[in-house]
Amino acid sequence: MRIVGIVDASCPGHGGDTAARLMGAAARAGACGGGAEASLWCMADGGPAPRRPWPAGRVVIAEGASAAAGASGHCPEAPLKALEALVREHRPDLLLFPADRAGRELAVRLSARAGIPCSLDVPDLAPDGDRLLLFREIYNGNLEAVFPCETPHILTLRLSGFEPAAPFADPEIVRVRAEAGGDAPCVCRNVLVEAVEPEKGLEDAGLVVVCGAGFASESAMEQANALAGALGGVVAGTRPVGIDGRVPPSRIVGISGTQIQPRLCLVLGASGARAFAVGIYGSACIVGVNTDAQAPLFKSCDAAAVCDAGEFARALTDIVSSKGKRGGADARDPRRMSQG
Amino acid sequence: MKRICVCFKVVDDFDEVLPSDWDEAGGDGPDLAYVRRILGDFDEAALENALLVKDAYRALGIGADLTALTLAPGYADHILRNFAAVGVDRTVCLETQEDLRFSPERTASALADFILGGPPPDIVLAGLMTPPGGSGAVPLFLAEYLGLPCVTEAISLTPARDCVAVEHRVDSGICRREMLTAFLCTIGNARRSYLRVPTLREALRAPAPAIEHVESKIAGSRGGLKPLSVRREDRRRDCLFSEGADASDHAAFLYERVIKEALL
Repeated sequence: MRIVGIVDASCPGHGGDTAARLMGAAARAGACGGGAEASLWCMADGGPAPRRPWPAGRVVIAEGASAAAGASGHCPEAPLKALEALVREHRPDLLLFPADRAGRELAVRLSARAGIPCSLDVPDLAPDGDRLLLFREIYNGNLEAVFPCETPHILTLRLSGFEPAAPFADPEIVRVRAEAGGDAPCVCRNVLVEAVEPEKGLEDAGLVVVCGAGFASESAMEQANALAGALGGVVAGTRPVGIDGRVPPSRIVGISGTQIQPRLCLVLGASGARAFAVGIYGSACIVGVNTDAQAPLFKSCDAAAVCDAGEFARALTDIVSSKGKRGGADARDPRRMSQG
Repeated sequence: MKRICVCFKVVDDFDEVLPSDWDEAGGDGPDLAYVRRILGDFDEAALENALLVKDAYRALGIGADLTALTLAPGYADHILRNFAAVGVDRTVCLETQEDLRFSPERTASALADFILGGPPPDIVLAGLMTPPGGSGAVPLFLAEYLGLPCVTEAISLTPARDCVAVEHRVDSGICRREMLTAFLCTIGNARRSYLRVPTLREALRAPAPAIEHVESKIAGSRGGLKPLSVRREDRRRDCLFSEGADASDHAAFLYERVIKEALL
């Protein structure tokens, strides 16, 4: 089976660890049916070729093919054209992208152009005899489905579940020059990037205080900010809280927001609907607070209190403050939270 | 005259499903016949943002025509009947007997066939993703089939005379682009996400809802996967409930037993 991991050197999340985990996933997929011939395709801009430890024995660097190569600042047309050409030439059985925004867009568009089916947001793969199975959450995370992964196939993978592959000491590096221009419809024509405002999300937070609809008043958010400040964490919210503007959209936790993996997740005043709970399952420790002893939230928790979330937050803030030290999970100034 | 087309989906409210029905779901999902039907979260935001774009064009003295397009909505009359009152000019339901739950390519193909059969739209909006498949692939396939530039995860759109300023989320943050029409835009967690509710006056003044039902024949057979099996993953953890008379006791208990260790 020919398996290719694909990264875009211009994408902030497509660094060495992403490439290594993609190749780790390739190794898992290759365990079915006689092994895999795995390689890495790196979409690079026109500048000096990226140099890094490569986690694959064969690396194809497509120069001038990164999404940032166009004059508009972000143009998926450049990597798409290069990928179409590479797919025609190499005919891989599996094409693996990271399941981020850039990866999803490239995967679907390449699927449409190359006529190869695609499956998105796949957290795991498993060989089953000679065939490969893929797993996906469906029904807003209420169910997990097993799908057959017929080849050829394009996948975007949630990479946290895959072990990174080790770097190769002396990989074969192949450089190709991406086609330019052409008559294909440019998907980003007439685009002007005016400004990019960096925005730190929740993915790397070590401690997260999540506010539910039962703890989302103005005073509740102040308490949540104070608690997060004392603990050295960040404040997030369920989708209804985000939609009401209490937390920025980048701080929404759940199937329609971010799926977090902090050391400690403190959930205040949320019922624990599955669409939200899916977003906190990756947490090492979940502590929930709700006045309803029957709240579904508690099924997801390691520890819980049945009491008023506001009074709990105030008391816990006092305790942590009196101990005189922060948790050090993520020492962001919580006052920045409201600025997005 | 600007033409706006918003693609949306009516879905089951999964919060109303009995836990036992999830646990016992066989085949490719549970029987949801008894569950309330609602607009998909992101699709509701797409509809509201389409109305905001229409309002903004009107404020600029530019006419705008808004078509709301859906595929196989099932029972949705209680949702669609208010569309005319809030400003939707045309509501179209494409009908098919095909099971398209896990077929984003074929869903997009049906939508594209209808759109390409009429006057070309200036702006196409769609929600970022919709269950049960929830992959978010439909709008991207649709952009490809329509040959349109695509902006993903918009949080706001501000039309001007010669372009539309779109703020949208990218992996590195929020990006503002000025798009010349025509383009497609997916709506994510937008600044305005709830669909407006018509006032009584608007409801009385609106024309009687005329919802067009159009049979959709989707060409070809490619696309879509059937699940081999589904299951409800048991994510339950052994929960330690705190003891105490009031919130201070609970906080002290959990701090000593759990939180302190997690902070180290």
